[in-house]
Amino acid sequence: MGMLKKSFAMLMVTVLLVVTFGQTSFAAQGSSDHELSSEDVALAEAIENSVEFDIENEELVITDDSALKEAARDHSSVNYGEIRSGFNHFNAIIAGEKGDSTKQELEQLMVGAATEAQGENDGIGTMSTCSNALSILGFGHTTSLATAAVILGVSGPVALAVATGMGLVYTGGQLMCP
Amino acid sequence: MNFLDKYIISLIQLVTLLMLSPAFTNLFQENVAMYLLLVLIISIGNFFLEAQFNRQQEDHKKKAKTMGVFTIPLNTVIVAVFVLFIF
Repeated sequence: MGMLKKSFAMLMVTVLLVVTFGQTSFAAQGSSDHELSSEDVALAEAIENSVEFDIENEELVITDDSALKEAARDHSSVNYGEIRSGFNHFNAIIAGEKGDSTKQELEQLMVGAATEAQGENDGIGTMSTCSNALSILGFGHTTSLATAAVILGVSGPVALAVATGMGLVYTGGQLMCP
Repeated sequence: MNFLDKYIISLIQLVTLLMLSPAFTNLFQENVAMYLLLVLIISIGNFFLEAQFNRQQEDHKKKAKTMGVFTIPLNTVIVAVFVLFIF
């Protein structure tokens, strides 16, 4: 019984530590996310469609000025002049007018943003983590309950119904995974 | 009242999960479906086990002790997996 108590205490401490540190890292990860409003998304789409990067001259070029003006007019907190000055500032950094270190920082920022966007587009990581976790958990949980049922001497329709119900719930959960 | 008497351990754990729900779901704005799934999974297991313990006609003290050894580590692991990988 003493051994059982020790094992139980060890398990509880381990799980609590994992949960505590896991929560902290989740909170830190969540704090870097930004909520975009629908007008932000519309403006970003307009910029994407009306601006091109000229590789030869290494600068951003506005290809559809009117669409950009219209998108800026619909946005509540950004105006057309600010967008233009943002492009000019970007082009100045890329041209090296603001110093090499600033240029390098901007390049690193762009590479980071591109990698993050690629990860979000894949979506495979999140989906497989959720469904894998539920699969493994479902297997472990159902096995534990079946073991408990055997120890308690349960058999027949009750055990079958519970095992089927658990399987159904876990499968439903996997379908709900993002 | 008889139901409360028979399934007191499962009900205590269910109420605890419901009390924690606003914290886990950010006031019912995130992960609501997954939290409901968690509550459902834990409750099915608990009620099933408690029903079987009730069939054994054991006294409350012994039932609580044995069921605690079964359910507390199992349910803690389930909650940990949900928090780390699903929410």
